[in-house]
Amino acid sequence: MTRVSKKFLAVLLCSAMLTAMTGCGSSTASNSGNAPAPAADSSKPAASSDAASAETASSASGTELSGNLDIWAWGADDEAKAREGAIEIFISEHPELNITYTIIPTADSVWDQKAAAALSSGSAGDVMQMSPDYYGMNTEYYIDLNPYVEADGVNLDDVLVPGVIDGYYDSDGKLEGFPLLANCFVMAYNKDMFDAAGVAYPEDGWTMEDLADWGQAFATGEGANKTYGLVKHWVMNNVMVYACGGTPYSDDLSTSHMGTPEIVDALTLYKKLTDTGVIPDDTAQKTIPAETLFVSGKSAMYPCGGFETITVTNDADENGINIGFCNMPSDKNGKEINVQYATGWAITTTSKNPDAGWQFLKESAYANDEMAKQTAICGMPSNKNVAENYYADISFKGEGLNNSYYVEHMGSTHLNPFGGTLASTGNIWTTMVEAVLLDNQDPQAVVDQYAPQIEKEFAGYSFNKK
Amino acid sequence: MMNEKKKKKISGIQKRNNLNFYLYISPWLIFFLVLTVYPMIKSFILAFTDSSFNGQGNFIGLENFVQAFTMDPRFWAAFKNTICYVLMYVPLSLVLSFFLGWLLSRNVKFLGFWRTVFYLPYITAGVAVTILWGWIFNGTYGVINYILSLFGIQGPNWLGDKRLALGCIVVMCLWSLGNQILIMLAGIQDIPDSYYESAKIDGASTLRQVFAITLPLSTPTIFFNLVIGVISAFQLFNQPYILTQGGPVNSTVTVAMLIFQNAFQYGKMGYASCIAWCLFIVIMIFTGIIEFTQNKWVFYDN
Repeated sequence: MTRVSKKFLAVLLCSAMLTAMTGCGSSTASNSGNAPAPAADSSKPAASSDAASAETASSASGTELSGNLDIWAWGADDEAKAREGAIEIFISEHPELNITYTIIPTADSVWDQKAAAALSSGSAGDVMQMSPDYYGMNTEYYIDLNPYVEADGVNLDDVLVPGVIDGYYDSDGKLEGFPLLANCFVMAYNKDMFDAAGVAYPEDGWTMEDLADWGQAFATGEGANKTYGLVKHWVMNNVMVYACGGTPYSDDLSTSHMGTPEIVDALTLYKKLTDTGVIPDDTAQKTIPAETLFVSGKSAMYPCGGFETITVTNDADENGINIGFCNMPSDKNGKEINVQYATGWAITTTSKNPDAGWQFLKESAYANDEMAKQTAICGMPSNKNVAENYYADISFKGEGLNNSYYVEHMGSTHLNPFGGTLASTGNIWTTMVEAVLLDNQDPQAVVDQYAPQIEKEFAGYSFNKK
Repeated sequence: MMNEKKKKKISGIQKRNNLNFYLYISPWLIFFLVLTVYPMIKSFILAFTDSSFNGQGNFIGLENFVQAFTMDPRFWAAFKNTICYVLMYVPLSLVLSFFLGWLLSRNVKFLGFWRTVFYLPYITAGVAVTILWGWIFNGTYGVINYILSLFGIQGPNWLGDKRLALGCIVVMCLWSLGNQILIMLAGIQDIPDSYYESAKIDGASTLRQVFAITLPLSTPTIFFNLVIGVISAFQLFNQPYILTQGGPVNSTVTVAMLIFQNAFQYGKMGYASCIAWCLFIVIMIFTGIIEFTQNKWVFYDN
């Protein structure tokens, strides 16, 4: 090889490396001109955005859409199908846009890692799936949607299911995301197991303390033949916070309530439930999915999320298990303990096409019934019309459940208490539960040790520093 | 005159060589500067700020370090667990990889098959392997406790017991030693046969040959495996993150997990950078000690 060709090769290599690095690096094409600024007044979120942002949004709604739109979503199985179906409908109805999308599984934290890395490096999509209780709120990754809402002039109360947008406003009124769907839980029970144990089917209003009593009838067998009263679904740690009348924090998120006697009672009750085998201990559920335990007849009850109802009911049917449904447990005050997990979309501050992004958000949320019907596969769509007139009528195998249950119960749910910004508190709560259930520590001592740590976390949250 | 011309010519060639050198090394150099040096400088600066997700924040001096050392119990738990893991995993991995490397260097039947078998775990997908081990260690349905039950022994809650969980992770990680075994095998095969032949003539037993020839002459390889092993062990993340999420009661939380949680779950980039620098310093100290002591136990041919 001649010297000249060697040099040429070296220059070519350098160029290739630099090009590759440009691809790895953050998208530096700032979109600040297009990104509406956050609203300042929480009481009037829509009206308080700055003029430039509103102008942008106004022009957006009246302008022909064009350009690229990159969408990042999470999901697997039915959820992925629903997401893909809805996006494909949007693509077919918007040939003027060049739309690309990626659906990333959430299992094994794949989404967490990819999304966190992409968002922090500025290489995320124009539109990212988000949740008010997950990655999202108070992160400054997403633009304020208030100006778009204002420019469209639609009364959201008329088009969205009540309550589904509330969680997307942060404490200073910035609208960080737009709803897609929400899910809560119903308690599914194995009628055959109840009949065999001679236990009456649970009725609405049952409590976790009741379960500690009659649930012991199901705690039988050894090793692989062990059976339980209720699986330790991942939602159970959150349900137990409320089980004895406690609440995790004040409504304005300023004060932790995790040091109260109700939390001590909840931990004590939780301990009793696992010690007596009513709920499996951690080891039994570390690797066996909770749903598998239920549909294989090893657990009498299962908190079934709206996102998994089809799968659970079909699997139970295939295994010849007769299932019934009742409300989630009630707390000491008779209030049902149900937890809501909400999913929505947000537009990133690095998006080069926020107008197209808004069109997608709007149609996903309320303006496209066909997209909402796809979404209904794995949860209650935020689209009021579809939720009430289509989703609610879908019924499942098993006795007497259709989606109207979820529509009716959504309004009385607690939003996932330890999602997103509050994850650090959630991790401490998990440690508290482990300390009591696995390490046999005294519930009062555990609360005394960890509650001050949670208070410190609360004091450090950005919304409490503002 | 001739000498001056020659000098000029040489200096011209030298210049071109220098230029070529920098040109050829530049792809790596650019990557090194952009992807290693810059992030290190940036994270060092962040360690003294209260930066959140977007990397912007105010200068707060040593507050992050004060918080880590005096107010965050998970910080100490993470360092304690990580150092415990290093002290358990690294010596065991060296002994095992030396032993297996030595075995694989012998003329045994189906040698290719055995070498493949021992290397396979290393190239198996980490997440799948971890989940598989989760099943093996499962207290209720796991194969270990099943085997114990055949002898009338009730196995413990392996991953749910804070005294056992970290040990389980060590065992799991030891299973995929393929790379270290391969490096050790290469080192052992590099020892000239003449040494063994001389030893045989002198009547040395196999065991004597191992301790008098194989082990001393493998020390450069052991040293390499030790340094790489210590550095990677300090960065343990995947196995505890997937299998135990740091539990039970923070008994398997590692420093790398703590950095990840603070940076990407809690949005505390400044605090995460502070922990990362603490980890960096600890790794440097351990590596420095190993480097410092190598003259006493590593034998090079020359």
